[in-house]
Amino acid sequence: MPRIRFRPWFLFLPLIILLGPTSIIPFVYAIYISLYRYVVTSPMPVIFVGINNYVKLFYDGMFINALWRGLVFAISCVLVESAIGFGLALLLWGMSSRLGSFLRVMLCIPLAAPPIVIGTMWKLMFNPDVGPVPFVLRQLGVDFNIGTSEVDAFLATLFMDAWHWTPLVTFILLAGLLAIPKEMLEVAEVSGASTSQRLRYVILPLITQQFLIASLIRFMDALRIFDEVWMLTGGGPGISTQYLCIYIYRLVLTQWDLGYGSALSIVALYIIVGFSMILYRLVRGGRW
Amino acid sequence: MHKKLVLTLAIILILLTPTISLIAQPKQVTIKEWLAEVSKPYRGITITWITESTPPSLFIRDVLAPEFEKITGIKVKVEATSWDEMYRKSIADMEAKTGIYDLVYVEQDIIAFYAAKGYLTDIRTFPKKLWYPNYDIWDIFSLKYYVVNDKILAVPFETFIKVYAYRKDLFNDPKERATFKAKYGWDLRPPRTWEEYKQIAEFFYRPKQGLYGHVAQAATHPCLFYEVVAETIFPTFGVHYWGITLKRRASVEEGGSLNSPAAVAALTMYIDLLKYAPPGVRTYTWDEVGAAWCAGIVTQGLIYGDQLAKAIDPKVSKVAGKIDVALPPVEPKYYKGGYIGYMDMGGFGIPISARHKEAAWLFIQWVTCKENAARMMEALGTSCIRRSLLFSPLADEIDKKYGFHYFEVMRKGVEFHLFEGAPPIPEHMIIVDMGYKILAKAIAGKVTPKQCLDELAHAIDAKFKELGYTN
Repeated sequence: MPRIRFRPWFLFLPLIILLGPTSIIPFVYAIYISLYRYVVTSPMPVIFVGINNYVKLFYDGMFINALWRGLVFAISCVLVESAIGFGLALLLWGMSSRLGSFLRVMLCIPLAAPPIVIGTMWKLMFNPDVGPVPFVLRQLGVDFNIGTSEVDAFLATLFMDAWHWTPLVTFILLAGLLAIPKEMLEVAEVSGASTSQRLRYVILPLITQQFLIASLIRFMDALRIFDEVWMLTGGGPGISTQYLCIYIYRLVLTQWDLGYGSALSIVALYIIVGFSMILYRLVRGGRW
Repeated sequence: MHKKLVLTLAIILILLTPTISLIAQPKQVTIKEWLAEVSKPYRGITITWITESTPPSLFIRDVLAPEFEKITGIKVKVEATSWDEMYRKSIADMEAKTGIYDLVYVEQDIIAFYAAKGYLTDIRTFPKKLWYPNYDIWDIFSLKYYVVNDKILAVPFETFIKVYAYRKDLFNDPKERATFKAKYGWDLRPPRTWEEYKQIAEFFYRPKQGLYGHVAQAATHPCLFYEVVAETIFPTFGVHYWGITLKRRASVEEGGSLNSPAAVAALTMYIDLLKYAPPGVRTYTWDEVGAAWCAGIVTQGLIYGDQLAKAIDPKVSKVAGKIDVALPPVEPKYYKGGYIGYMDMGGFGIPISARHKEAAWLFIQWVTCKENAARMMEALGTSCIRRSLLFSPLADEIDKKYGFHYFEVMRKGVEFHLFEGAPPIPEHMIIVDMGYKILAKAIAGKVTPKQCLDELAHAIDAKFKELGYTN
């Protein structure tokens, strides 16, 4: 008969004590609530509906729209931020120490700002009446209005997110670049490799892991974005920038539909975890 | 001799009678004196009030609350925040019965929901000794909206109307008048119909001069539903009470009128008018409407009284003294009677879970007593809660001071029931949240007004059925 080893479980105890009240209990409670029709703003009684709230998700056009738009937004963010972040990282890599240090400090500024402040700031920047961005674009003959155009609103949220989070990607990639042994680059140079060949065959393969880590972090973050977009567009025009968390927020804290909102939150959690696992697997080179 | 004595005594008695009667009469206690006495058991405690950051709320926070603290020794903590934040916090507090707030801001349109949930204390349950003897609660004309099943669930401290406002300096300009008449064939004046409104909007649409003929709260925000369906547009097209029946049905097929031809015409007109508004109008909530007025870029529009208060304030407005108001226009083809505008009310409610209910009630009386209601009315210029003040010379004086006819319009509204609150639908917040998202699609041009209202009406029907209203 195998002997039960208590010691490893005992070592888990502090973590369980810590996570129990803050994560596990609320999570279990959310699952419990998701099985009920519980709408705070309705005088109708709370009733057990089983998995109805989960079934409803498949027919909820708003949810499918929010998920789809959220995915498009998250993928766009990862692509744009990776590209710009890599460019900036290369720039900083080859820069003199004093100027490089100054630019690194400058890049830290967006990272230090709270998302709600970023949202407010860009709301003013993109304001169709008084914002400098629409004004400048108008002078160039481009009508940019986040109140009327879905595309403009989407681009505005993407631009804002890129402004906020590209520095993070830059720093992750810069760390990877700084870790490349100089000898390898020298060997490539002596062997007659051009700049683009060095980039393609030496640098990029050596920082793939950093790319994937940055993408993983940014993808998860972008998929659950809320505050900046809420501040900038409120999910509009129409429902064009109503990403997943904005939809959940409206359900839970505006309509106070706790049952359906909980079901949605749990499904959203697993969607985010699922996509992240795929990326994680890529980071680990196909291993779990 | 005896006769003389009797006569003298009689004369003395007659002369003294007024003095005796004065002494015998109970002394008229002022509210300050009464509060100082009755608040003794509550001295030192703190009451917390969460409210929307409206001009009356800020006046109470900055002026009346400190005075109350001095008189009673009861500290008042005022949390003035945004409309949606206020709701989130108050509902969370009352639902969980945490007792954080002793007073919550209660908008009239939410009262049916709060009543159904049993969140609020019935004011009538306070003992007589806690009622200021001269406090006439029924003089507060909008109180009736807060009485549910014979319970007084909140006491209004602010009442505004949403009125049609226009730039009287432009309307009275002889050059403008002549040009307008030549173009449209009628004298420039506040419009009576939406067609006239549109002509004025078109006439004053001058984007190169930074002037626009119209303004609206067309953002993807609950304000959109309020403006289009609940308060401003639909009623003037004869679609009342949100187009929803008492049996909770919205679509024409089920007996409602939310997707009726009148409603479709109203939404079509609303969207059509947006072309005369500033370019950012689709990002405007009520706050931006107020700001646009203050910036002097708007010629006409419908505006809440609290936002109008900002527009007439020379400290923040470029057009103070240049604004007048009138009744909203209607659509004669569809409008056949009933209310045409919205009466916006905010009141004090005491949650069942409040820790200091009595102290909170004393504070309510202090703020809403006639003396302070008059002070608030004078200071803010657009809010009035008491009938005796609305129909007093004070209202005329304020109108004269700001050069408009706001209280005159409000009086008409109260007398002829031209402005109404929201219907008693407890699911108010669900409907509003569903509603504005669907309306926003039409505003963004993704669907036609007819498609939009069909979708909205059927979504509301389905929601009510899902909530258990199956009959």
